[in-house]
Amino acid sequence: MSRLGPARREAGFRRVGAATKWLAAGAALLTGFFMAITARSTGHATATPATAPGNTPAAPGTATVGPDAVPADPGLQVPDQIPLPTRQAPIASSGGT
Amino acid sequence: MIESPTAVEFAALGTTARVAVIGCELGAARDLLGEELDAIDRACSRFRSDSELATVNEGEGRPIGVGPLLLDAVETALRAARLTEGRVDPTVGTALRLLGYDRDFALVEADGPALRIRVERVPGWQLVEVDRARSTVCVPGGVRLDLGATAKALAADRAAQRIARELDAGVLVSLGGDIAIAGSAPPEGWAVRVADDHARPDDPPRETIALGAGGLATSSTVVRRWQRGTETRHHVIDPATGLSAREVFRTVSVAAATCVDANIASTAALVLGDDAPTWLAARGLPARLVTHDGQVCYVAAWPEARDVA
Repeated sequence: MSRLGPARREAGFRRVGAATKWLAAGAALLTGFFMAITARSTGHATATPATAPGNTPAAPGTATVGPDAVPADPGLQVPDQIPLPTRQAPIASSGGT
Repeated sequence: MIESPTAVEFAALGTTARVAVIGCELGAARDLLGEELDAIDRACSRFRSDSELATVNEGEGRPIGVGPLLLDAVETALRAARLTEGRVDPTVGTALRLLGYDRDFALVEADGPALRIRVERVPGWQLVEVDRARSTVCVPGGVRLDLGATAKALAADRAAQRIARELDAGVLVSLGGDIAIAGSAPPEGWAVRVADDHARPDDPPRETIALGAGGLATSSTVVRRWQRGTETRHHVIDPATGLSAREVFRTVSVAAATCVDANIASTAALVLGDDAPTWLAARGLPARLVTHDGQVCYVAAWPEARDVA
């Protein structure tokens, strides 16, 4: 097994260092290239996290709750059974009060 | 043998409370309803100086610790405002007071001198802060909440659910004509007369419908009216002006999944005026509307049977 001299060892280190720099630069370029393609295909210029319209900061007039604490309000709900006509004598009345 | 419903009625919350049950002892249901009404009055009355709401209204911008019932009632009122885009707004308390409705309605003078009132939007529900974790409610100084539009309906829903659960019965609760149903209804449903004034159910136009579940609410400008100068005032406030709402429809009845939802919709419809039928139809809510001159129109699945018997 031959032993390398100091000059050849230093030259080898320089070649490995240069190759590492070129690899890093190439990886950065490729990353940028693929990010640009992704951004163009999804219509976003940047990769910042999307914010849903309902996730704006809590405003006064609303209870402060976590995003998974309360489901979205489904709005005014129709009755499970629709009112029906009847000839029965009424047991209660509904009117202004 | 099929059991028949029984019912009892008594005065409460400045109006009448009625409970009808099937499958349980009426007295026990009446007692539970009484407990719920006492609780809602202590929490939400605008006219009791010792109510929690009175303390909140005097809070001058400080968060006030409240119990779970008032917390629920305020959140219900804010939900009403949100779902109606502010047409049902709890910050109408000051507007009502300026118009003369500043005490229990039985004590409001039927007639009085003309008022000098600035037409302006009420402060707005967005100013109300609720912190459920700390159980506090905060309103800015000068802003007064009135929960009348939704608290009564909330009480009806709570009472009906509690009676059905604790007595294992079918129940109908009516608070001044705002109706909540829970448990198993009679086979033919609960028959309810719909009219302008719940205390005068035989006045036309009227009709009777059968309900099997959910809630029914009627809002009307025919009742709770008073005179100031040449102007007639009523208790349904348009938040956009701070004045009594313009009377396109005098009475609106709505059926919904709960009494609260029905009440929100019927109150909003009176404020909406001409746009009310479209607004109700877009939400699929069965409704009956009576115009200022007595014409009746129907929305969605409200039955068009005319019962004038």
